[in-house]
Amino acid sequence: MAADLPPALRQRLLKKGIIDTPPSPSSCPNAVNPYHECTDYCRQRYGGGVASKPTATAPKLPKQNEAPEAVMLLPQDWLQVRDDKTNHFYFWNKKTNEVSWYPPAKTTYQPKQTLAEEQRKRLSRKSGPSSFKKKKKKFTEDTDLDPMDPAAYSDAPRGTWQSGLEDKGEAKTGVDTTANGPLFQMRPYPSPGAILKMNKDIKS
Amino acid sequence: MSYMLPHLHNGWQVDQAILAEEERVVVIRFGHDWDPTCMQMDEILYKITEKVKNFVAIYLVDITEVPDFNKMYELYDPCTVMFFYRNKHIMIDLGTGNNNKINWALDDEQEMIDIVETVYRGASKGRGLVVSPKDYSTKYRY
Repeated sequence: MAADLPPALRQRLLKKGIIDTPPSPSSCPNAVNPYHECTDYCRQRYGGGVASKPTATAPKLPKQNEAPEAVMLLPQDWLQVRDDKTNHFYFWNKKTNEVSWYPPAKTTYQPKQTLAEEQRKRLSRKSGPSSFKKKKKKFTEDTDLDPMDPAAYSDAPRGTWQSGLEDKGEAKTGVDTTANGPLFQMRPYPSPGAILKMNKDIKS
Repeated sequence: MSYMLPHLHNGWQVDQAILAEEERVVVIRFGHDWDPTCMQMDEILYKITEKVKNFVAIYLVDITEVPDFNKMYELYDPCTVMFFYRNKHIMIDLGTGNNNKINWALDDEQEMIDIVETVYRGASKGRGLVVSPKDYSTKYRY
């Protein structure tokens, strides 16, 4: 009866709990995943469910029983172990207890320089002056900090293109207030009328 | 004694008070009446008012009530005294490094009279910067 229902309706009824969920096929390879819920496709493909067809056969798992060739290239302390549930091989580090489905990178491996390469290097070092012409002059990027910039050697924050520009409504007497005596110069403040006018201009 | 001196209550009044004086120096005290430093300065200003009334007009401005000039005049100190003559700010070299204003309270009437007289004499000759008769660069030391 439940098999005749259209799939959308069945999903809704399943959600409400009006009809029972068909048992998941035992051969579904996703059964080991605790978050997996077998769908119609699983039942159809791997059989065992209500909607299964008689022609549907158990899937052909890839032949994993034999250890792949990668075992020969494994780094130290890594072993290839077979998972009973999925019949796949995984990799296990017996020292750190790490596990991985993928073969671990071989970190200890270091390629040896071939003799020919070494020779070529030595030659290029000898012919230094000739290759000098080919070198292009490197331009410093805009992001590089000028060593004379106060930001380079002190706590001063790095300025932007507009920092230090004249700001309207700020007193322009900001000369070095630490200078004293004849070195000290200060411009007078504008008159109150000028300030009121400026404030009005800034507001509008 | 700040209630003995005329207050200016908005920016326009400050402007007009300065513009209205043609032959007198305008001394404006920026600060708060309740401030101890201002109280001390107001006392000095009040005492000299009568003596210098021929060439000086003194006004008080509350910088909270009239915040228009706080930014441009850099009014960060509790008490600031500035001098104006014919709508022009007159600087005075007090030896403190700040020629624009007196930002502490004087404690002697005669010193204040000397300062305003120097300002008046210099300003009426067209000077924008006058040198104070007394050097106040050591005021914190003694």
